[in-house]
Amino acid sequence: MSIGKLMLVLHAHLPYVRHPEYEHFLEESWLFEAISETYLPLLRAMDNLETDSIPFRLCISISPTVSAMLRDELLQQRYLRHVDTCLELAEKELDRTSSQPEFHNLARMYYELYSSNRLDFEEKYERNVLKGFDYHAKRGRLELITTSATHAFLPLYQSYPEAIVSQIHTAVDQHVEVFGKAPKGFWIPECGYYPGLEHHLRDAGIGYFFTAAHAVIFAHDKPHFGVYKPVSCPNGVAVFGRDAASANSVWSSEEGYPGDPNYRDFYRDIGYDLPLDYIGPYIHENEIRIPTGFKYHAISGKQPDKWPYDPAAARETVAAHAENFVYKQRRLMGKLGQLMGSTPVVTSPYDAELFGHWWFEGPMWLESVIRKIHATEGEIELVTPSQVLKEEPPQQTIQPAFSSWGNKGYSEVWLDHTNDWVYRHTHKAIERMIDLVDRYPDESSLRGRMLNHAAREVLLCMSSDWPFIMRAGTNVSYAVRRVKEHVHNFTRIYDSLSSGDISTEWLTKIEKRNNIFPNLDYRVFRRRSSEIEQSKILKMR
Amino acid sequence: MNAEQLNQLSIENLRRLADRYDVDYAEDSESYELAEMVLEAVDEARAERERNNNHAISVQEKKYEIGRDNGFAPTEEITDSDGESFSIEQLYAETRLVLLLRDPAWAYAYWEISPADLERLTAQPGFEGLFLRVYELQTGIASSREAVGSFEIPVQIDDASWYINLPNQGTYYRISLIAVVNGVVETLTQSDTVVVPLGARAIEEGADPTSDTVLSQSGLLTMQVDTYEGRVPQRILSLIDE
Repeated sequence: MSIGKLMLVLHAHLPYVRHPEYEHFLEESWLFEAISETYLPLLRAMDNLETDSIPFRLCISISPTVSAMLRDELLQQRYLRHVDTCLELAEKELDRTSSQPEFHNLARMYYELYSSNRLDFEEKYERNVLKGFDYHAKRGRLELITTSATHAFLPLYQSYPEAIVSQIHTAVDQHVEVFGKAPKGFWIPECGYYPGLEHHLRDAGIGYFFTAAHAVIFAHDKPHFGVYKPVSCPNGVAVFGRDAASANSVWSSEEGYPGDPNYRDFYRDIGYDLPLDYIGPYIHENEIRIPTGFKYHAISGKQPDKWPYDPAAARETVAAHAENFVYKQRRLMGKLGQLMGSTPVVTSPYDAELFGHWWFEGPMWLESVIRKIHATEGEIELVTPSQVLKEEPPQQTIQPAFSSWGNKGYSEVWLDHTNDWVYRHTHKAIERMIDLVDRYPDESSLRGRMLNHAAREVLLCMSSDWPFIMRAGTNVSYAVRRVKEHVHNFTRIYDSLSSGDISTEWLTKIEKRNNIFPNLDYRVFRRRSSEIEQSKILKMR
Repeated sequence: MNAEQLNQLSIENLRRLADRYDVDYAEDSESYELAEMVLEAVDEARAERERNNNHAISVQEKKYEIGRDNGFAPTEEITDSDGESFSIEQLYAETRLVLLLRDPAWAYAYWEISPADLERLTAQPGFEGLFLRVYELQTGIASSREAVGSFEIPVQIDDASWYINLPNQGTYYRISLIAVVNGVVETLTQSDTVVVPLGARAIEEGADPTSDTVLSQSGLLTMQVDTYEGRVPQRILSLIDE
């Protein structure tokens, strides 16, 4: 008999990074690493479960930018080139480490990993990894949902309902195009919620979304069951509040599982360790050292000398951590069930790229958790959001509160002294885009192309990733470049439409470069009655 | 990112980086000295940021670990491969004021005064200055005249943005940009109204012991969320399961 329902939610997102104007572009590696270390290993874990007839249910949000990149021919070719380079390095590493058994075994592990990645990518998925997710979705194991078109942090755009609608509808349209059906749910980027957002979600056919715990706990009306039952917004859209307690054991690098000394160290990499004359061809041009993905050491605790990574020891630790996670879930659910008098629903969302990229053993851990849950013989039930809503529709209506899962729970990460300058420009671009739709309500041909591309550039400049990276301080110049590039491109079109001075050559160039959302219709930015929208929001609290 | 990269930079770029990280250096500092000081400042900044990060943000940052500069790109030009510059307007020649809510205690305002307005104001000998007036409103659709309270923040003519500490939660705020000429105030522009949440639980403790206990399991203390006015009831804290 079920004592609780566990909803594991993975959110896969990267910003749109595609630079055909360069033969090699470093930041495209973000995608390549995610494919190699997260998406393919996760699919492999799901395949293993299928092979062993272990049933499972997961919810995965795949952002429109990730979908677009995974389907892009240029990036598919470049991923193959990247894997081939990794394989070449793996072969060299097999030679170099031949007299160091502890490292040689690891070189072999990487050789096998990249060989499998190449095979799966090229042959099994015919270069489109989305096919793997679609395969499991069609068999009812995955519920695939979407997020806003370019992952805009929506609370900072709430004064522009046109921009919110554009982000949501463009995402839903793309999801339908990619997976053949509309998403039932929506991942609001960074769990960034503001009261009133649910109106736009409902208008796009969305039935539920996820929030940070305090969106529910700090709501004006008291949630009877905290975050352990879905609740309903006043307009009927369902909300699942994140269970912070169960999530922390997985997220935290210090107190959580990923920080175990037996696990592979994220930072130590031969890209930094080996001499330039050897590693030079596998790092960035101008001999700038970057991680290669070949990491031979375990976390090893706090001492400076790290010990070699031992995959067998890591596997044992994975099994123990999976056991511990299931034990904690069982204990929590048992206690909640007694208090609530009904079955609790525990919502555990994670960044998908946590699994595999940062926490190398993450996909293995997830597979192990699912196997151990299966072994509970129904005591813990893995569920999807739609399944929960069908079996037990929300019994309580509340108005969630402004919140995010960022530091301190609000907008601080995306609005501080490092990145606040962005909004002056992105807001203006949105205002001008709305004006353009007013001025040109029914254009096709060249002017239509310009308007569609203008809308594309506005969406791209709104990505939450750019202010996030500016604050993180890890790749600031690129994030600044991207905001400026998209605002610049938009403004050039805006000015050209006014002056009649249209360069088709330039337009064609940027259409090819920033080719996301090829079917975007600029009228998605048509003016909404902002006073009505605003008053709806202002009446809520 | 590391000493090796810093040592490859010119002294001009090192100075620019030192300025960016508020490093106090002597004019005759050698490159290696600057590199050391910058590295130390960057490490400190990074450690400070990581201390402030919660788990979700820490993990997310790892996605962008690979980068051409990792914070060091003092000279990288913002151009495309054809050398086209991605220049953008700094201002938009209009008078406007925007208020963004950052959290229940802080909002960010940015504004601009059009060249025509600016010229008109500064041409008057009696122009005394500018200030932001922050209105607290009882409802989201109330006008500034119906404000339940207000306060003022003097700003300079060159200022274009400000972080505003909001004294109350669970209320509404709107701001105006105001010029003073010969002792007479002129509202140049006003922002939209923002809804400020409570940032805490709305219901008093004790009303529903079962849901208080359920709440204690919800990770209230591990949410790493700022709460305001100390509204997490002691009764709930005492129920947190160790």
